[in-house]
Amino acid sequence: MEAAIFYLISATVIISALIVVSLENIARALFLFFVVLLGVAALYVFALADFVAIIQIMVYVGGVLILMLFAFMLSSKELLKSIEAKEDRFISVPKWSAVLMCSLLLAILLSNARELLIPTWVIESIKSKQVLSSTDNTIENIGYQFMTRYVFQFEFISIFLLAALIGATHIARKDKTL
Amino acid sequence: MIATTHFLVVSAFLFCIGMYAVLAKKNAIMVLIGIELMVNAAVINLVAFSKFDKINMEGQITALFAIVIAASTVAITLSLILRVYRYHKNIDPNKITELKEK
Amino acid sequence: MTTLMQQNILVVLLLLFGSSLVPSVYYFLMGRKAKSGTLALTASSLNAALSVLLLISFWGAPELTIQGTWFTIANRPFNIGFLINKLSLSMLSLVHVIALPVFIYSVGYMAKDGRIHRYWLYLSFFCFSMMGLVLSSNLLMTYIFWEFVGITSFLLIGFWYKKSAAAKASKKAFLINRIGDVGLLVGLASLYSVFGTLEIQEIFGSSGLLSDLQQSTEGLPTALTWASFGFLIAAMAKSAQFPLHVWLPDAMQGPTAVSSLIHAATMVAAGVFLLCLTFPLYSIGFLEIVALVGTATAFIGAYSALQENNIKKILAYSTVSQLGYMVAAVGFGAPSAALLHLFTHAFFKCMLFLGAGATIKYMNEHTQAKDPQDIREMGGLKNKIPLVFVLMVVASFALIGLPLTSGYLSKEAIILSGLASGNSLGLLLPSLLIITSLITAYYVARLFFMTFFGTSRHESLTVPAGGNSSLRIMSLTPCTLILGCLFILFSKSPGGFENSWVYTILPYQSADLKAGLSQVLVPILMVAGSLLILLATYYYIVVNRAGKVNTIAASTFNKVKPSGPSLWKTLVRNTCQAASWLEAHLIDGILVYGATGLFKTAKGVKWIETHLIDGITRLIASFTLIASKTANWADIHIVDGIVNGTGRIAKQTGNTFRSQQNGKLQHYLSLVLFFLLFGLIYFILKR
Repeated sequence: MEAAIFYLISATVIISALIVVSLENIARALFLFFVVLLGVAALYVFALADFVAIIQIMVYVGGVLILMLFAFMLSSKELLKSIEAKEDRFISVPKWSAVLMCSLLLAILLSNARELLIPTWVIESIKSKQVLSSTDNTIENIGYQFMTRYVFQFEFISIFLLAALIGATHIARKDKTL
Repeated sequence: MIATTHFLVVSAFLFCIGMYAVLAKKNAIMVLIGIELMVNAAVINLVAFSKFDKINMEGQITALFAIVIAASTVAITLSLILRVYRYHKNIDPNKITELKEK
Repeated sequence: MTTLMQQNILVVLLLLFGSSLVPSVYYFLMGRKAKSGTLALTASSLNAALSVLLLISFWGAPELTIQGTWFTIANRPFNIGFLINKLSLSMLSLVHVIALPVFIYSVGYMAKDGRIHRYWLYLSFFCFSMMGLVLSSNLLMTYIFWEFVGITSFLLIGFWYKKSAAAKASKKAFLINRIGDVGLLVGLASLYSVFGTLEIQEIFGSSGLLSDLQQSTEGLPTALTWASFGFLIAAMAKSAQFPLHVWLPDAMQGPTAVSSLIHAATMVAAGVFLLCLTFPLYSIGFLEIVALVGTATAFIGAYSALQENNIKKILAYSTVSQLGYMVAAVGFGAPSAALLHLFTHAFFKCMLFLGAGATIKYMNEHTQAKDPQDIREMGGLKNKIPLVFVLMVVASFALIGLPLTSGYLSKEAIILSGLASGNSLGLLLPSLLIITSLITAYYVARLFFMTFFGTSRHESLTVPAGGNSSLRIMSLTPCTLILGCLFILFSKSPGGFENSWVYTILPYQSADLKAGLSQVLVPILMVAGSLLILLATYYYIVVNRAGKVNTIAASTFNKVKPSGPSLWKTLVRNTCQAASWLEAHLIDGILVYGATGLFKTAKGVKWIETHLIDGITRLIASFTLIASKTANWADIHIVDGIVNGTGRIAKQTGNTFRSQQNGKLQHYLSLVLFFLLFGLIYFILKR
């Protein structure tokens, strides 16, 4: 049952991702991108990372995507116009060289997946029963970790995020002199 | 309990699709979406391996950082795209060839 | 003591080199502004004085090598240095002593030439390179200076390059000398392959590598034979030996002073010098080839001189012939005799050329002769230019080899050593040389009598004021060389060539001359024959041509007074008449027909030369042409194709790569991915 749901979600993610990159219309692609991101969040849950899944939904679905859509729609009309001008096809013509290279990359990655080299630390943690189980509460641990072990990174990333947002608004503001 | 390999396979698919979008799409926003797909693929990997690290949770915490950084990237990239559009009246990355030696 | 001496000698040598090089550099830098030859003259006088001083002070001292490492290839040092011994110093003195009068003479000869600065440049540079050639302690250096000498010769032959004949002649000389240069290079390479060094002293010294090799029981390496042939070819080209002699007569297109210094006295002797230097190398069998080449050259040169009418060309052929004597002497195993002849010949041939130059100048300026170099246009110049006449007399006598002259000494030396050598051809070569010597007497006499005796064929023009000053220089200067034409400079007794100081120069033992009949007979034969031919030529050319058709006998007859008994009278009359008839018909006939025959054969030789040798030359030339055309084709189509192809490939590759640099972000990313994939595949396959 669990596996079936996993495969279903995986298939949804992959297929919708494929459609996203094949669509000509960006607005549609962006809405389909919702599906992909939600599916990925569901995959995180399957990987026993509930908190990451929540963050994924909050940041990506609630933040990034909305940002994209709003940037898309609230910005200048010409941007929309130029995008809509290309709306004569539903699915864009694939660029074959890129398709070839990406499939090659995929083939390489998948050929490795068949005989995966399991890292030693994974083997050790399996031996010492350090594997996360579905009953564990991860959020508490993550909170502790953020406030102890990763406190510097945590503070740094906060400032980084702030700086990035200020920078983004600075760049995006209308300034004829630039 | 889903085997780690499955996550990796899904992640590989997503990564390659994202890569295709980055390489082939004629619209900067689609390229941005491609990048986000790739970031997600990477995050899937991190999360999948985080299962074996019960104490430190390095994978999940790095995944959180990655998501935050990706969010800020998106913010900046979108503003850049707007800026580029204002400057070039175009957001096709192939038509913006300022890097080429004249 | 030795160090001190070394230092002194080094200082003198550097001074010598400097004083040769400084004028060259000066004239090179100054260009057209340097008109006067004062600097060159000063340098030349300094050179002559210093070199003679060095020779005298050094004489008898042990051999000396002053050298320093020039460069090193694979632990094998190549030295730059001077080899100071009797041979090099005497050659040095010879070059400079001959050069001095030539320099002075040139002041008069080249007075009106617009490019005189170049003339001085070339001439000074020639002295420099000749000095380097004789002094170098290393065969590689010798080779370099050998080339320098060749290029100076080329430049000076083509000095009046606007004359097409001069340009052609210089080209010819240059090309034929190239053959010799290749020979020398082959010789050097072979020697180096055997000995691993090119030091003259190390190889040819008395206890050098060569004598070690010759004394060891193992056979000599084949490379030595190659070296021998290489050096012979080098000497043949430089010293104008048959069949590579063809450039020398043409080289007379250069200024006469140059002909006298370079193409008669010094440079052409470089080949003989080389043969003397490398004499220990040659096996007995090889020496016979050398002797054959020399004798053939001597004979053919003399014979060719018979049919020439150009005064300089006669002398040029004579030079060829005399060089043949020298090479033959080396072949006879008597390099000392060759060296003696080299020295004596340098003096008298230089004088002859300088005299000829003065004569030509006179003919050019004072008569309306069409070709001032043609001896048929000359005549009766004895009274016009008496000084030239005197010096030509002395020099001609030396060339013929009459007693008391230096030429007598050296020619005797060569022919006697030829008789003494155990040559497998027996008496053939020496007797050919004797015959050549008689022919020499004839052509010299012909030149001489036709030029200076008889009646002048052109009216003397009024001499422009001051026009004679250069002629005076030109006739006075060569007189300083008269001493060199007499035996006294070379030996104490007029016939004792073995006691000559030249014979002490080379350390090699000359063949022991057997005191026999030939020692007495040969000189008598030669001198008598030469005198006879001289007289006959005088009679034939001067007396006969002067319109006095009367024979000597007839004049005797006319002087006989009719007295005494009639029978006696009749008898005398009849005898005289018979004698007169005989003389008129027989002797005259012999002389005339002989001379005509000689002339015709000479023409035949010339014909052979023009048709056969020139044919061969032309054949070689056409072969070369074909080869060069093929090479040209290959050059254009293959080499250029490769070159252009490489260029095109590079360009296309560049274009390909440039097109990657198109500024498209996604393109760059694709490339990154592309190579990343390559790397990944590589790692997978490696695993």
